[in-house]
Amino acid sequence: MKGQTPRGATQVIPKRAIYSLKRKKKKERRAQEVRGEAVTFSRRNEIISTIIMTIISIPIFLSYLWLFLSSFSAKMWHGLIPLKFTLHNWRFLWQPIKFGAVMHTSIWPITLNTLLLALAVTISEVLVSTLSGYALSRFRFKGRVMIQGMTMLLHAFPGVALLIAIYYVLYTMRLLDTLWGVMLVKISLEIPMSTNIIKGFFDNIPWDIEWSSFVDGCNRWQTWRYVILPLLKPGIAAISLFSFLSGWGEFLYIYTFIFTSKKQTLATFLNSLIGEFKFVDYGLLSAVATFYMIPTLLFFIFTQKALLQMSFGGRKA
Amino acid sequence: MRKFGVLLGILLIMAVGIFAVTTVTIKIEGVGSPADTTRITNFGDAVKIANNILAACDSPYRIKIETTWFQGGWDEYRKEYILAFKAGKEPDIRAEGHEDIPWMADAGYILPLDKYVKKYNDIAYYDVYPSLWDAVKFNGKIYAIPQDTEARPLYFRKDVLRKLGWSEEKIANFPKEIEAGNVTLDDLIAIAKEAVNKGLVEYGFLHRPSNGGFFTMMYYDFGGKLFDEAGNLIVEEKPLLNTLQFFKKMVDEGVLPSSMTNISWRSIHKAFVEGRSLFWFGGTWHWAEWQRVAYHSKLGALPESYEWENIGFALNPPPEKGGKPITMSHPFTYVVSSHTKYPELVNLLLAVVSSPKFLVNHALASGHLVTRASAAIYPSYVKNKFVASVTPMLKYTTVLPNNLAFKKIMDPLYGAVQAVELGKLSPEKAVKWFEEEVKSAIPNIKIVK
Amino acid sequence: MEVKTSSVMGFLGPFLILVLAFYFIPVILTVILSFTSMDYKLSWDFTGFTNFEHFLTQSLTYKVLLTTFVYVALTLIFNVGIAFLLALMTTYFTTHENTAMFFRAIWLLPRLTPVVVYCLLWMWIFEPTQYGLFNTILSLFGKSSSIDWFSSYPMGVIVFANGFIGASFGMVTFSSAIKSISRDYIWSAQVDGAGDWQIIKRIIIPMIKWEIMYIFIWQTLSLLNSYVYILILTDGGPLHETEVWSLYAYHKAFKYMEFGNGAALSLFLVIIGIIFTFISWKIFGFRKMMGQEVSR
Repeated sequence: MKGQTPRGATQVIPKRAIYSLKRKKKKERRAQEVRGEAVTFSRRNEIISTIIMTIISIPIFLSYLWLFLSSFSAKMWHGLIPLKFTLHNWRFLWQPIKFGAVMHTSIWPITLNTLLLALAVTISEVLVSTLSGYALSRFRFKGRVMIQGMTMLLHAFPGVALLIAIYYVLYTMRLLDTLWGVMLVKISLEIPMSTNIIKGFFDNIPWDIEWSSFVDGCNRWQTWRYVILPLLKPGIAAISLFSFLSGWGEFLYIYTFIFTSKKQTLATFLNSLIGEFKFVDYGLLSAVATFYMIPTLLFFIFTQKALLQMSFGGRKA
Repeated sequence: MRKFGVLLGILLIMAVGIFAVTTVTIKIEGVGSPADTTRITNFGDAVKIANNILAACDSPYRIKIETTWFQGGWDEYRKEYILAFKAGKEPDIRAEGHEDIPWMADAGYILPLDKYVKKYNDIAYYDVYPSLWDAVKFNGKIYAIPQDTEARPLYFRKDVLRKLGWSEEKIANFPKEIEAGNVTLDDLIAIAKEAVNKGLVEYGFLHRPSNGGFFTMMYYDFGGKLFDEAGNLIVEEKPLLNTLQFFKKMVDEGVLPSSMTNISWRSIHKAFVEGRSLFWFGGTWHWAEWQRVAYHSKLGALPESYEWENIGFALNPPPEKGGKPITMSHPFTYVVSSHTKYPELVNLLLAVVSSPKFLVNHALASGHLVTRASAAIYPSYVKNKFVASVTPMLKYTTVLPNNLAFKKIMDPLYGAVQAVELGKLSPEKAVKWFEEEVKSAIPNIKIVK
Repeated sequence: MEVKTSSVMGFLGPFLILVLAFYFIPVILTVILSFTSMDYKLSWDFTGFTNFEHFLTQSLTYKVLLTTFVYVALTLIFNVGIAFLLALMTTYFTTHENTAMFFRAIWLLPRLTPVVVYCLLWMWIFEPTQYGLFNTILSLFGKSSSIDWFSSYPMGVIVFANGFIGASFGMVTFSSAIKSISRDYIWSAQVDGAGDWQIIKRIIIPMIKWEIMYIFIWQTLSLLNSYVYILILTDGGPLHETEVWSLYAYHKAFKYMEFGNGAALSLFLVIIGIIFTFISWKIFGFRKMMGQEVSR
């Protein structure tokens, strides 16, 4: 079973870097075999627990299903069973949403804003945390322990409590009402966490490997490119994934710091639609929401196995 | 040689100054119901006229406008301005409800406009109704240009009254009876109850689901005052209690949904235009909104003929027989940012957009009333049946006070109504709750027992 | 590798600048702001302890305090409970790795969903008409009238919405902790005739107590500060019934433009944040530094 790792070692990501995929598979199979001996008398409990899990998962399961189905149906029986297929709810893709004499902005520039913000957050977060993670792992310098302690302290500290003061900081920096400002706030509140993750990866790459590649005649860049980066990939992938999704889904900072409608993102756009149609036009709302969910769903479908094996705390808004 | 160069430079600058035309961008922002966009689209034509004027006067400037329509709540609209102002990104001209003028003026966010009102008085402002100037003043100075006004009528469904057995004549006289003080709020409840009990309608009444002037109007209707003789802000306990009891009674009698404040605007309009509610405490702009937004599930946007056939409007009745009915106006205004680089150009634009043509265009498109006497005699305005019928209501109109602290009364008032309707507090307890809230927000407020 | 400070700064510079600008300066600013009466004019007028006195004398403050306590306590029980249940079920009780994966994945989805979409889902679940999920379910059980959840049970709405999203974090942490318990303990217990309940009580819970404690502290801290879902779902209403401390501070600052008051309120959160962070650092950080890796 996978639980061969020492007790409490749930920060699996660094470990994953070293485990080859093959080895993992083999372990899993073994785990099942091993457990197979023990299950003989807990068959009944297994069925009961599956039923309980199904029941408590109903709201999640049904609500996502509803979101998808109602975006394609003209009518829902009791809001649950789709009755008539339609693409009408998706009209916002080719024409702006009209409400009385008011035309909403087209969704495409808003989507572009959202995408740019998410990408900017991802790239800068990966850059900054890789640099600082490397420094904290490899260099011995004055204040290292202090800074390392600080990253751990900050990663538990809730940044939203500082929102009012951050508003003033952005105001002083003339960055209010800019997506750059939002991006800076966003990455700042996330880098303590991602630095810690990356540092863990560097810690697990033996210094010897780096050293021997120097000896073999690689220069610093080659060492980085051919030796370290491949080992670091899972960590960078994890950080990219989470920072992309959190940038993509960001609401509060945009709601608070952005006030030009041209600079809004899908989050505030959808929120203003909810405001206007509250409890009514679920067809349109669910179509916009499903559209907004596309990257999330893609990531979810393709990476869920990997996701489940990493710890990802601290991403709570 | 050097002197010559300097001279040449000066000449060059002068030449550019005379012949070159600088185009400046003026940013305009508006807000309102989905039918109110003329509040800013009027500028599209106004800017052409303004540019012609500028060309005729050989001015080196031309104006280009950039308009935005705000989508969101009032609180957000307020917040947006403050933050935008501090970031230097606020619009030059902004449509604002008149009650927001005090804090904007107090903080120095907007320009006093007395100078410009005087300057353009003879062409644009000489006949603006005096009461509207009062609504845009703070500390004796004019801070905004009145843009529109309106009345808040009580709408009723004629078709439902017919089904209740009312004669056409009785229905036609209903507004007059209300105006004469022969119909009370309790009578309305009785009529509504009958309609609900007979299964003719789902709701007897509907009112706005969010904070707004309506609740203050009801407080006025029950005789409540907000100022004592010395001009200090006060709240009177008894009228407040009566107001809350009225909402309580509507819910108890089953004519108002207790979750009224949780129903969306869209479903409210839908329910009323489809005849599922007998009464609707609305505003004149709704008449236009129903013609423009497809609320009705079968008819879509209503043809005006359908409205005349099925929907009537009247003043809001007094609580007791022989009392005076009431309505409320909420003048919208244009304010000018104190940061604007071109106050002269902005004010020229405002003077142009205040011409009768634009006022009437906005009024007819959005169901509002004009702000100038010369606009009120504009042919298309005079001919408009709706405008002609609601204008006399202004005799009974009231306004929200232009007071810095007033919002801190308005919010708890709305909260108290909500609490009473949801049955979370009795009217008496809601009054207590209200007083606590108000006292903590305005420590020196006087509560008149 | 011993290096000069200047080259370290090349690597750590961006990190330190950002942390300085968006953690340290804001903490200091929050302290200073809370002694001012900054309002819609955004000017610094120092008023001493007026803001704090104001809050101490207001009954609303105590109501908000109570609401916050109830909200955090209920959500904590809900999401740590569910997290533990799920972890147990997907590791101890289930032998099919695929079933376990399926459920764990489903519970992970809310965490990845954009905030506003997630709130939209809950608006539908608690929709007051017969079209909402819960009202539909009730009607299947023969209840004819729909319940207006948002007015009748606003606290329930926000506890559920936040509970479902918070559970995944605990679930992942607990699952891997339970998986890492050596099977020998469990086998020998089973051989000795211990039932499932006894194994859970005597072996599993004691062995993952650090993780449980960690999740408790972490969740408390984030629940105290996460008001986004409440902001979108109920906006604190009706009648401040879901107005938690952090949302109250947000409203003071960004609804009523009383930045001084808002900062004074969030100062409490900042202090609680610092205390909790130090506690978790002391308890968990040292273990990590001692070379024992700890769960997050």
